[in-house]
Formats: sequence, C-alpha cells, structure tokens
Amino acid sequence: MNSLYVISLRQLTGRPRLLIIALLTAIPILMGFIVSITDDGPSLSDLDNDLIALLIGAAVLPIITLTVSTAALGNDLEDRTLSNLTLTPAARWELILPKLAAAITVATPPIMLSAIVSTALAYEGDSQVIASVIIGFGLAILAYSAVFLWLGLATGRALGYGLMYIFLWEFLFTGFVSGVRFLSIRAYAIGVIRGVDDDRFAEDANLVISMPVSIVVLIAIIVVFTGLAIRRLRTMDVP
Amino acid sequence: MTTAEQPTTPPAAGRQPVIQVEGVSRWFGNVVSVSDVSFEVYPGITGLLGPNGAGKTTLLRMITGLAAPSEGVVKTFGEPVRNNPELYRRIGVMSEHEAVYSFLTGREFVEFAAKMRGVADTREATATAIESVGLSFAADRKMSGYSRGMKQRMRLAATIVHDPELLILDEPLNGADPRQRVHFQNLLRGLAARGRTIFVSSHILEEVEALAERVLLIVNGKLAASGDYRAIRAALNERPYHVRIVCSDTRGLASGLVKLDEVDAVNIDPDGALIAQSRNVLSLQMALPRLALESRIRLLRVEPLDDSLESVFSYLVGQ
Repeated sequence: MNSLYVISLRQLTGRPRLLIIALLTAIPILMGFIVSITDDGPSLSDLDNDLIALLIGAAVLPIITLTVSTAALGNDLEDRTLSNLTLTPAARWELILPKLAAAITVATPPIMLSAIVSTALAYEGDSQVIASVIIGFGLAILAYSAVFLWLGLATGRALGYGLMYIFLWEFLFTGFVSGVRFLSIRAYAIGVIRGVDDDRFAEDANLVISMPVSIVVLIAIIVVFTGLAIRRLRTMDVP
Repeated sequence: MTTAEQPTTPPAAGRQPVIQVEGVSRWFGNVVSVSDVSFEVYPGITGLLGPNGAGKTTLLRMITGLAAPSEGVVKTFGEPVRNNPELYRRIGVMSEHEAVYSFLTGREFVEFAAKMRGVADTREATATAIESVGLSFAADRKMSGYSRGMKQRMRLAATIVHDPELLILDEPLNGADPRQRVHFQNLLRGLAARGRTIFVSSHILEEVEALAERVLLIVNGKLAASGDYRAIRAALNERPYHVRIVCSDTRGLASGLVKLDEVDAVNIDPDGALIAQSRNVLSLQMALPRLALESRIRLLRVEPLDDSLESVFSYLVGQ
C-alpha cells in the first residue's frame, strides 16, 4: 500500500497540474490581500459569503480537489496502467485507500494555504475564523476527494462532469435555492465552520445546517463514496 | 488438426488444466466479440493465434479477470479468476498496451511490481528479473527514454518478477527487433522448461510457430481450430495460392498456363488480368517466366493474392 501511495503521489504532482493548483491557490490570497489593504472594505457578512462560501468553498476547494482526485485513478484508466494494479494480489480497498490518501495529500496543502492565508489577511488574523475554516474545509476536502475519486473511476469524462457539478450545483443552484443545501457538500462544510465559529454566517443562520449533522453527513459521504469506488473497481472491466 | 469443439489434448493424462474456458462469450451491445469458446491450457507454451480484431485480446482479458464474460466460465488453477486477487500471486500478465509509468526508472517499475505482488526480497527479485530480460544496463534510466522494445522487455521483467506459475502474454513481441525476439523466445522457452505455463497471443503465425507447441486459432470471435502447430503449418502448405498476372497477351498466356502441371485453374478477372490458382507456387514461380519467354509474352505485373493473414485464416477456417 505504501509503495502505491508513493507512486500515486508522483503521478499526481506533474507540472501542469501543479501550475493550475498554484494559480487557483493564489486567487483567494490575492482577494484577502486586497481586502486587507482597502480602507473601505466589505462587511464581515460579505466576506463570509464571498470569500469563504463562494470563492474558496464553491470554487477553489472543489476545483483543486476535482483536478487531483479524478486523476488519482482516472490517469491510470486513461494510460491503461490500472491493470498494473488490479492484476496483483492486493484487495481492491488496498488500491483505493492509497489512491485516496495520495489525492488528499496533494490537494490539502494548497487549499489550506489558500484558505488560511486569505482568511488571516481578510479577517485580520482572527484565530477563530482560521480554526473554523481549517476544520470545515478539511472535512470538505475529504468528502470531495472521495466523491471525485469515485467519479474518476466511473466515467472517462470525470473532469467535465465534475466541473458541471461544481458550477451548476455547488456554485449556482445551492447558492440561490436554500432547500437544496442538504444536497451540497459545501453547505455541510459551512455548517461545520459555523459550528466552530458562530460569528460566521450569522446573518444566514437559517441556511446553515447544524454542526453535528454536517459532520455526520460529511463522514457518511466519505465512507459511501469510498465504498462505491471499491465496488466499482471490483465490478468494472479494466482496460 | 483438432476442431474447436474438442479441447486441446493434455500433454500428459491426469494433469489438471491450468486454464479452463467453458462456453465463454462476450458481447458489447450488438457486437459479439467472443462466441462460445471452450478450451483448456496445460503447462508448456500455448499460442493463441488470430488476425487483428479476432477477439484474442477480449478472450485474454476474460482469462486474466480484467473483463467479465457475458456468458460462460473461466477458471485458472481450478478457481474463478474474476474478483479473486489472491490468484495473481501465481499469475503474471503482460497486456498488449505499453502500460508503464514513464516517470519511473526500469528498476523502480519492476520493484513496484514486486512490492505489489508481495515478493519477499524485492531487490533481489527485481535484479534477477531485469537481468533475465537483458536490460541491466538500462535499469536505472527513466522509462520515458526507452524504445518500444525495451519497454516491452522491462514489462516482461515486471510480469515475471514474482516467478509466476502461469504467464499470460498479449502480443509480447510487438515492437521487438529480431535480436530481442530471439531473446524473448529463449526466455519463454526456458520458463516453459521449468514447468511454467505460458499462454501467448499473436497475429503472426511464424511467431507462434517458433514458440508454441500447441496453437489455438481464433477467427471472428470463434475458436476455429486447436492443436499442434505442425498440423496448421501442413494445412497452410496445402492451400491453393492465387497469383494475379498482367501481361501483353492475356489469352495467349492463359492457354499456356492451363497446360502446366503446377496450375490448377486459370481465370480472367474483370480488369483483364489473369488469375492463376496453384498448389505449388514455388514451381509456378519458375515455370511462369519460362513460359512467357517461350511464348514471347511480356509479363507486366505478377502478384500473389493470398499473402494476407486474413486469407490464411479464412482458408484454415474453411477446412
């Protein structure tokens, strides 16, 4: 398992992918920097919505996770190296877990760097908001990674479907229609953030899901989609 | 030659088959790729021969467990191979694709394969496998810089690194130069001599002939024939050849050709060219220029019509 994890890390840290990740990482930091040097900046409520909920939660975090996690097994499918893994005595979960771990390892540092630095700049070093973002987005990274890892195995067009899901569902639909927030990973991440720091999203409290529910659902998503990926690998025809 | 319905005769009575394929079919939508194929494979080298698109790779993918049959049963060492990862401790598979991690060196690639297969001493096993394919000199170079033949050999090293009892190789000689082919063939013969079972596919008859004692012939997804390669070679030597001849006097040459013992029949095709059918094409090669010279007929073009592998297979299937 360890050697597969190491190989997967090397697969996922190709230069083009790292360049895209670096660019995405820089956007919230730039926004946080602009807010920090502007005298007449946005209100805390606007920052909650625009920086945390939208820019990081609905764009940077899911897109970076999508880019990495769909490639974790999608690359093996595309270049037909998946058979190098499946034609071994390793149980299917022994293939999926290192891949998931590698995807999380690659996606987490840039997302956390972006989230921590941008919130530190925008919220003037408020440790409570930084802690809430670390916990909330940390769980969201795990959940998105599990979902997108499965997607990368389920379809050859994972990146396209993933982007459609992020923009149409997470970014647009759940942002405007409150009733569907229960079907949004971002909403549960925000629920955790709100649970850790109850100053955040105070004006949208009726839209926020409670922290215990959010944590349970996020963990359920991780478990279910990891299970689906294992099942998919067991039943699919490997090219 | 044995027929498709008859399993390949085991080399020794009482031996258990290493691979059992029973009534296996595979279809993709309306397209049938493999149709009701049954056979058994025993230790030694067995060749799977067929033209491109015949269903060889689909069949091998089902035997290795990469794909599920739509119908039928595949067993390896008496167990279903699908969803049975433990079996891969005893099986080495080399697919037709150049599935390598180009960012790894050859040694890292083979060592990774050894670790994934739970080999105890991965370094020793890796060095031995690489040495056996004659690539020790390039082992520490990135695989992105390898030629196709070198990649194939390093993939073979990764396939045999855990010393499997059964080797399944899909078109392993693709991209190999003549020297590498000889090396490959010697290596496989050596493994077979040590009691290993080797199941190797190819679309080149000579390739299989040089390697395998037994041959399974697959055409259009069906097992057309199975048995000793010599039987197939004998059938090939007996088949009639067709030669297309364009000359300055078609009818004059036709009347001369029908008198030759080497010629079974002569036709004139719609383009006005002669089609001569012969079972002794070597003799015809000698007789034709002589006849043209004596008849003062100029030969403009002489070409065989039966050299494609598909025509060879079509002939064998028709027998």
